[in-house]
Amino acid sequence: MGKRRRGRTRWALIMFLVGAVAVLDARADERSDLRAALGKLPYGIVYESYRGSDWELFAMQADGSAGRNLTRSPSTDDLYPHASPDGKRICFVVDEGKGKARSRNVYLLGADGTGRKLLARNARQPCWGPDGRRVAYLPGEFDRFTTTDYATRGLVIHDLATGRSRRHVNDKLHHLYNPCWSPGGGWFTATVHGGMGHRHANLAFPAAGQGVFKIPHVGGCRPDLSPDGKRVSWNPSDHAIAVADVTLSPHGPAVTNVRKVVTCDKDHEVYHSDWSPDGKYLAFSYGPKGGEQVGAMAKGWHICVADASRTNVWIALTSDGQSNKEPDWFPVARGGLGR
Amino acid sequence: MTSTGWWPAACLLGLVALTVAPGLSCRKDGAGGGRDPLPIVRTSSGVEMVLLPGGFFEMGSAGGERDERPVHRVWIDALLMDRTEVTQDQFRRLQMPDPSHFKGPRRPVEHATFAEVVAFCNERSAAEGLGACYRLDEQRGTWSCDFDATGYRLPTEAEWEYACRASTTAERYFGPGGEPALRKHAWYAANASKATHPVGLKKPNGWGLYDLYGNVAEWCNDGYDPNYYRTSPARNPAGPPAARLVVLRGGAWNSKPDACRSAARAGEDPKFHDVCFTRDSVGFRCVRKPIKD
Repeated sequence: MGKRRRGRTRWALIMFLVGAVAVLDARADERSDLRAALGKLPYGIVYESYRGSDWELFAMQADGSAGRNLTRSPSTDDLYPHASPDGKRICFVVDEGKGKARSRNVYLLGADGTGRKLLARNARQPCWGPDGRRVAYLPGEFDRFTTTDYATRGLVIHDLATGRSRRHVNDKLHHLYNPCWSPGGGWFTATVHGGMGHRHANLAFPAAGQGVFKIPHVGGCRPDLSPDGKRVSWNPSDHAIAVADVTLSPHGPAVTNVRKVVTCDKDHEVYHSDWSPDGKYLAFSYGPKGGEQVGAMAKGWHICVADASRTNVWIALTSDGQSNKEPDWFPVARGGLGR
Repeated sequence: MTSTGWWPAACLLGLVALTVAPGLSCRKDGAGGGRDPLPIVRTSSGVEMVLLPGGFFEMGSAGGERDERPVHRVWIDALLMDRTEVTQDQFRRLQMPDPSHFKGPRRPVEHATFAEVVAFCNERSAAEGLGACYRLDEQRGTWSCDFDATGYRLPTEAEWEYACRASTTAERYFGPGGEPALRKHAWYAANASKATHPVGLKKPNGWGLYDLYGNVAEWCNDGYDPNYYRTSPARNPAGPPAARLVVLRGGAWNSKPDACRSAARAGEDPKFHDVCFTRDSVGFRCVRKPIKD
């Protein structure tokens, strides 16, 4: 009797191990397939990277190849890059100056790394309008420099053609961070922290109106809208990136089909999700516990890409151990970055 | 008079003399409720602090939770402690973004990351020309405190309990009276209407300190170890060398009465710089060494 039971236990253990090996093999195949698929995409990824003494903007192909330093500006910290819809320009923030003269400002840069131009002083976290002709950014709350991401008041829309800026009509916008302009141009999403009556929430508000709506079922931070505007990705915690179907309407946002795309253990963090131009992939940052805020050190963080339709099918594109964060996709097909 | 009886009085007299110095505004306050009033110091940035004498006290509670035992005798050096919890107005005057959920210039700051709290302490020190107490490691999410520095820091939990008790030994500093008395001294779940309130509206303790019970639970400088009292030093205990949680004291607007006791302890993940998961029921007050401004 005892021998028979031991035999059954042994068989169960063997079957479990065989199953586990099969699952691991399948995962390895999925990752290999993902890398191959990324190699065929006409996209690149731009990101911020700490290079020993300062932050620079780097760009690489979607499979992690052909990485290069776009800014080469050792006297400033260049951060939070966002590529224009056509991939020909980047808006980003620059921390510059020392001591009491230090400031965070918004700049523009050409795809080839030339044409660096100041867009706004004491401003942060710019994003592109869908037409590629306007940039929205968040003015700093105080003159004094801070890396605190929600230290903002209002939202400004800058027209690149005319050079004119205008404040969003809702003058109550306060303590927003991580804004994202909807592909249709009618909405913004952002996270609020300790402002506008909210403790901490992800919000949607019209680009030209007074309403402000809490995005239901999307708790956490850093919402990012897919290129078709029908899905949203965000951080429900330090250790997960989720996506959901979203509808933005005058009645407010509606969210369904919430699912996790990336999860990690408690000793690591995932942040800064960004949809690929075809809406199939999410780029994100991953690494050991560190600073996810713009300009905060996060040694050992890597730029990664996940299949947005699966759970935990992802690969790391960088491997240099630097603080690599804030990835943003761009198209390279028509004279975009890196061409 | 026993040796422990005259020491606090002697220290108090010495400190009163010490504070009569250029740059310090010093007065007595009648908040002692019949006890000797303690000197109130107005700092160069206009914040009132109470000059607490050095002294012994019995820390912990024999009838409280397991982590409040054993009751043990502790010496605390003299220190200056904020009369109230740090307010949102204080944050804004230093041009630091106010993370609070419940807005109001005289309401306490809450919902701050631990990194923001210790950064405020250092900024407040710098604004008054004092030496920074905290050294931050943003990458590791760690901090260290220089207790010899002249600037502002969080109180150790021993300092906090010493200040809260104000020479009393009962469960609460006002003695018996239960909840009816607690309502006069604290904003807590039964009377706070699910929000913080401007500081200093309730009755202070015998040393003139406000809102020690309720309103916001207060960060202390120490890591939280439920067994710490078994091994803690007898003079100025500063917490265990390492801990995952940080001590909170005093209870908050959403607390039950049991959390609003002098000896009640709690531990909270400091979430060093993670704004997503901070709490709107947690704030702080500062202390510093009683030196000339």
